[in-house]
Amino acid sequence: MRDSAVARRIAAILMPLAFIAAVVILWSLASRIFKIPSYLLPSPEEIAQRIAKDWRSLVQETGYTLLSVLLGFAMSVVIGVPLALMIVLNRTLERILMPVVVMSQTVPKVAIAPILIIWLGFGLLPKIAITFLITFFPIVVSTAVGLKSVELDMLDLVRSMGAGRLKLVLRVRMPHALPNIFAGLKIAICLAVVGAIVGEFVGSDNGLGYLLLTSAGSLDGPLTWAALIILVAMGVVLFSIVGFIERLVIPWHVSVRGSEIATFQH
Amino acid sequence: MIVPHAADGVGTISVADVSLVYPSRRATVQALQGISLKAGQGEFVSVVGPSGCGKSTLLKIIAGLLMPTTGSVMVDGAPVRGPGGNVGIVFQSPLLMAWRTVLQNVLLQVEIRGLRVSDYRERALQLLDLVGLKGFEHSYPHELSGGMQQRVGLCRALIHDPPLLMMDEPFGALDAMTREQMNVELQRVWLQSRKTVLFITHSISEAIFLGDRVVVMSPRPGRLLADIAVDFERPRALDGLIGTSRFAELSRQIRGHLNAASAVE
Repeated sequence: MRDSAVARRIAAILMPLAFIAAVVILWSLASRIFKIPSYLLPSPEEIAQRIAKDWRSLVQETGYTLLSVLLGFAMSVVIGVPLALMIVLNRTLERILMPVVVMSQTVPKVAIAPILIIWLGFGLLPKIAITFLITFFPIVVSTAVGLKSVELDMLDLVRSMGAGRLKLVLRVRMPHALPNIFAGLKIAICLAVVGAIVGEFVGSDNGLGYLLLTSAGSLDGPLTWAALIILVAMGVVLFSIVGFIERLVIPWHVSVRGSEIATFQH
Repeated sequence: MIVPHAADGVGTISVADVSLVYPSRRATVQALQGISLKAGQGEFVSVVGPSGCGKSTLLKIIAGLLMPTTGSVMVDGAPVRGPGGNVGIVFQSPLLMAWRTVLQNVLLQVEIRGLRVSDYRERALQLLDLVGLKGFEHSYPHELSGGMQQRVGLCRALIHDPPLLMMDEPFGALDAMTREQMNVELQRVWLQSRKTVLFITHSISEAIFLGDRVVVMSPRPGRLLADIAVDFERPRALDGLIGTSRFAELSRQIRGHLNAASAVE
């Protein structure tokens, strides 16, 4: 890598970190200067102390939430991508299935959560169900758009080589759809975190959502904010992982490789 | 569809009274009307016509991508029933797969046809070298200019050594200089293998420079207006041709047919 490329990579990581550090410092100063009470807005030091003290239970609850996030997300991908393919290839299926997909999006998850708990109990299942419902729509729609939006000329070209339907799907539609699929995955992974928390809010005695609810209820500022910060960090890390996989899988796409012109800017 | 080995067939085309009518929103559209056309082995046939006259439709019918409403099409004496025949096609835009390298794009042709890729790798590299793309085998399409991408498309159409090559305004999107270069390139490549070529263009001078014959099509519904022989010797040089009176004569003939047909509109 050239020096300027290395420098840019380092800057890309350091700048957000520097920004966060600045926010933390300002926050700490504000807490001290304005003597903000702990239950309203704890100082960063208090939160850090609390994380250090309760780290074992925090890790456990984080693991619980992470499990429903990942399982619900995985379910959406495993069911959603093939479904999108079916919708694109078959008009009748599109007419039957699309309304169902749209409904999965418009049904208010907060309202349906109690029903899911009655059906599925208090364990992990209803959370996975909600996470699935919230991630299903973005994944199906973005995949379908990607699969559908192949230039007709490109399909003609490959057909003229003797390709049948299967080859057209595997060699043309799927690779073409990958950038769209990843866009859907990035949106979905962030929504998945929201979905898991909604499920935990409604009925749970595990997870970061449960911690948030109980600690807020008992005005335990440091614990509330600790759970919140871990939650936000979880979303950011998961998003970054998807982005990283995207860079590996579709390095050729303009959204991943960036503008060539930008490399000449300082 | 299993494609016979490239050595089979000689690339002759026989189009008999082909018409294409298709329904559109308002009424039915007649794209082609009673087209009859023959191309013999090793002939370079240029097809000239205004935009929308159905030239691309005719190519797609010969390729088996579209079925004519009436008439028959035969390639190498066998009726065309669907796509996948022993032909190489170059479209108007390069249509390269952005997720494949140049080399992988060229080899797509043999992959789809179910041939063994390793057998054709060497030939792909040779073809890329022949069109001046040595060193770009592992580049991605976005790193290439339009003209370079179109040359990759040409290699892709030639990799399986088809006896018939069809090109639909392949140089239309290029600037005039590159276009002239590509015409010379194409002649050079063609002279090495003498395939049967059906070359669609709306440039009269390009049609005359490249073709053994120039077939003139009318505006929609596309009919054949004329089939003019071009008897310049090969290899042809741009300079030696364009200025000559014979060239001007041919251009006038062709333009005359086109103007007469559009005047009727």
